[in-house]
Amino acid sequence: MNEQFKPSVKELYSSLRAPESLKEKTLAAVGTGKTEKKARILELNFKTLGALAACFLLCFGLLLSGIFESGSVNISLDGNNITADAVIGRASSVTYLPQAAPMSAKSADNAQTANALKLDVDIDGKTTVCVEGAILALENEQGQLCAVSTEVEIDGEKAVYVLLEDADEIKVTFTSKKEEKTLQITENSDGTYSVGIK
Amino acid sequence: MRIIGESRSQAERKVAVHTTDFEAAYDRYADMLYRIALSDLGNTQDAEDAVQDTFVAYFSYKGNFETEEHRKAWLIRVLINKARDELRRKKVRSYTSFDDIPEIASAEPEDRGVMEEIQKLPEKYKTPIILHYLEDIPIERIAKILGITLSGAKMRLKRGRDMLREKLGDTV
Repeated sequence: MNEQFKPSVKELYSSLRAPESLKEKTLAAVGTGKTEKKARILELNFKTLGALAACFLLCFGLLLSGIFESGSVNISLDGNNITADAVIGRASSVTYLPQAAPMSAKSADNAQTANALKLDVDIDGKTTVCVEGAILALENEQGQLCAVSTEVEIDGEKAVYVLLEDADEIKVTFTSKKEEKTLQITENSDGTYSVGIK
Repeated sequence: MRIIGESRSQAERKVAVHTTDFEAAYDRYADMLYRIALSDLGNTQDAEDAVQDTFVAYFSYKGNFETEEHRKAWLIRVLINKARDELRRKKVRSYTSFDDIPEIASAEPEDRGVMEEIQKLPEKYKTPIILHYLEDIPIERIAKILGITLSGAKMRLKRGRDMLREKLGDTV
């Protein structure tokens, strides 16, 4: 055990010094309890969270801008072109509504009153998406909010429809059968609307 | 009137003593701890962190040190534990190139080669070699610091020495 390194090796090793700045940092750390490493880890966590948030916002933005799907939904019904820019996916079976007032949906065997509160969109004929507050997503070419949807039961079948302002027909999708029918819409004297199978 | 507890000036004096004591300990041991950490971790950033963490632990330490050697051994043991924690935590280790450490970059190639070979030793053998041959700490104390037996410490020193000799021949 009496062996030793050459003196020059020991001198070299001994010449290694802690950086001057470390003392100040350490004194600050014992005062605050926050070390450099903790600060770096915290910064890293914030960066990670920031990156995740940025990714989320980017994806959300892409989704809204229709890059993932065709976000622009054009519905042509009686010459009324309705664009739903914020609707995710291609709404193949969106129907229409004159206004968001309580309305009655009538058919030969079934009639009920429904409040138009949501938009149901059938994406590529596979999924029915219910979007609360979809009235914000549908507007006509003049930028007017003009469509909203609701779910009704017609002939014992649940169906969704969207009514377009100034239109006299409505397309209804039966959610269980994925079947589409065109209904006739008529305005009643009390301001409500009646809908019947055409 | 009877004053219960310490007066403010007494309390302030105690804090001042503690801070002075802390700075004195830092001035005395920081370089040694940094060298050990740098040898163990191979990275200046990690070495600085380990030293800082060690002194933060020292500042919070409530116990007493019987002797200065006891304080020194305590600091080294805490540092080695911090370094081990760091080594365990990091899946991918990064090393600071010796070219980025001015003292080593400008050293004689032969001495630099010795430092590099010490750096490459397994941690088990490297720490005793550094503590004993470069920090001049007696083997008995190294055994206590590392929590191993005296014969175990001697064995590690011998194996470490043999490994270095195998690589460096008589240049050690």
